[in-house]
Amino acid sequence: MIEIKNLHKSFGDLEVLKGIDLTITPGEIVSILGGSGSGKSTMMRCINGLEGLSSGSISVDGFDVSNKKELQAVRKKCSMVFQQFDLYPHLSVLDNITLAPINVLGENKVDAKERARALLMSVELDDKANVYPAQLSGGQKQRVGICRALAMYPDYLLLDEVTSSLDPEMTAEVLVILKKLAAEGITMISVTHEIEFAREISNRIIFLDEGVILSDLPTEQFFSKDGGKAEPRIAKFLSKMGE
Amino acid sequence: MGYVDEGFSIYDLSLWVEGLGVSLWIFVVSSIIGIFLGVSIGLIRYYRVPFIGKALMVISEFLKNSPVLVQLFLVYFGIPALFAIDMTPNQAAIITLSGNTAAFIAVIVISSIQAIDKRQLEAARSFALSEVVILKRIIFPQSLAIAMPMLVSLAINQLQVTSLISVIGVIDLTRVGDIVTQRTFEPFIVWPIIGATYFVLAKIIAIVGSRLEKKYSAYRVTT
Amino acid sequence: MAQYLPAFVEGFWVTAEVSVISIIGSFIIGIFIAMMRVSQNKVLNTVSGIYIDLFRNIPFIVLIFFGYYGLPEIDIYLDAFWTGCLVLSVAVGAYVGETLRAGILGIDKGIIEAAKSFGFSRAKIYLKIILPIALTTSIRPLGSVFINLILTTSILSAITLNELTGASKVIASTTFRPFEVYVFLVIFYGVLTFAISGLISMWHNRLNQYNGEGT
Repeated sequence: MIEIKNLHKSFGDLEVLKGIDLTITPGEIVSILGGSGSGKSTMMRCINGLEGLSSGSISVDGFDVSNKKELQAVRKKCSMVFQQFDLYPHLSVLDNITLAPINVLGENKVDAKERARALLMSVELDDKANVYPAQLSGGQKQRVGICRALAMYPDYLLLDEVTSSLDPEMTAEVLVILKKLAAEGITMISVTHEIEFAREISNRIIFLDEGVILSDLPTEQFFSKDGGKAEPRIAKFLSKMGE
Repeated sequence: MGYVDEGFSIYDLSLWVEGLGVSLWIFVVSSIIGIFLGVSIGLIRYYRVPFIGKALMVISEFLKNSPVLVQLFLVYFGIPALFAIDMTPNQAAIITLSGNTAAFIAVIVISSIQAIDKRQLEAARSFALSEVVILKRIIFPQSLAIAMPMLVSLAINQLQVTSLISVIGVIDLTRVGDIVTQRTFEPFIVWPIIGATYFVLAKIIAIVGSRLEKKYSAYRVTT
Repeated sequence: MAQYLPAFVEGFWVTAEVSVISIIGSFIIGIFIAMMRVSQNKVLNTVSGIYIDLFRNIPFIVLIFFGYYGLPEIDIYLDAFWTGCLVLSVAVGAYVGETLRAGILGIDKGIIEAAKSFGFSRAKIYLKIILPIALTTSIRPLGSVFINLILTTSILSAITLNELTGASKVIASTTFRPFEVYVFLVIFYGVLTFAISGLISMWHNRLNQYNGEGT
């Protein structure tokens, strides 16, 4: 369970998160929506400690993110997939996926490689195992990114605008895989602009606006006229995004 | 043991000043000559003058990619032997360092001119401005601004290179250090002082350089 | 003049030995200096900064005289060869450190964050991600630092090391043909530099073809 309590985050004088309270339980598929600058990426990056908290607390399965000793445990439970892919350029696709399992989980090389190949097969990239990231398209890189995240047996999969850098065709590629994953029961927290996708796979939508949670509702309710859409700012946002 | 180990005296201070003076003099003179030569070579190559341009390029490449010490030996020992002339260490030092500096300046000149957007120059030429005017009013200010950081770091480098002239007998700062150390047997006092002198000089160049960089950065117009 | 070839070759070997040993030494020192320089620790940062500043602004010949005449005073007796290797390693280590620091800072921050997010320890991030990437992208600038090192070995002739320049001095004075000898030496160093930098360029391009840094 991820518990966020009264999270505040400022960058210098600019307060980006103004008191977030949130609990996410295993098995949920949560999509976090909001305009640019609403703080959604920042909030997610606070969960796995890529951003420090200005005040408040976050705990993942009881481990405190702000505690240096417990942070590693948090990071083993949460795997992130990044908007800019951020694959290791000097390593092959296979090595990208197996690096963390071998060096952080202590898995042995043979097992790690086998599992990596299985993951690659499930995203239809098994023929690219020995290729380097620079030789892949954006969609392929992101699929590798997803494999890299899954290789760590994460309890929570954190998706940070994972299709924002992709063109429509590649976006579709990646969303297909994410849909499969959602159906398999993994806990997914996804910051995204893809409203349709969010509607399709999530069971809960959280709307962030200017650093506060404006609405936290089950998906159906969020998209209904007297639920989420009742809130004017949300209605405006959704209509801008073509809903 | 009849040799008396002399300690330091006020005379050493004056030696230090003299050595410093010689180093600075040779540095300044060779830098000025080097700049004139280097800019000329740079322009000759930029305007693709046949034969001379290529020949100068080959010579500069060797000057840039061989040890300065060897170049000093070539000039001080080699040239007098071949041409049966006399040359003092100081003259050899100035000749060598001027040539060496010129080689590096030529490269800086070319690359900083090439960094200027060609379209400006095309526009100027299409207005029938003479090449001289173009050079003076358009190329020079902008390439100077672009070249400034490279020039500063070249200057600091060439300052250090002057220390090598001590090997061919110039009584420069380094040679003074050698002389005083041989007499007083205090390398731990003498050499840090000499080192510190060069260090301070380098820092002065760096500070002056960054002031100049700021001043000329106004000319760095990027469209 | 061909009878002097063996002496020349012997000098060349000394140059090669000093160069190889000093390249290795300066490389090791440089890696540590670079890591110190990018570290968050204020002490490590400042100390390495001073180290780099010092050795980049004091002429090499001053350093070598200091080492050659100073070390015996504190009961360390090294010959010209090892004094040369020591001083070269320490001094060039500063340049290597500065170059690697630039290489480390040039790494896309997102990649390092990705590694952090997976729970790698600091040491593992350095060993598996930061250093490999920084070294690969820095091959050309490092190559130029090491070529400079080779040229700097000529200064060791001033402390009577019989390397290439020292040997040539002897040849020049015994043959009474200094001009020919030194012209040959200048050309020799020039060609050597050209060949080595060509190889390094090729190596750099080959290693970097997959990360957009080649050519």
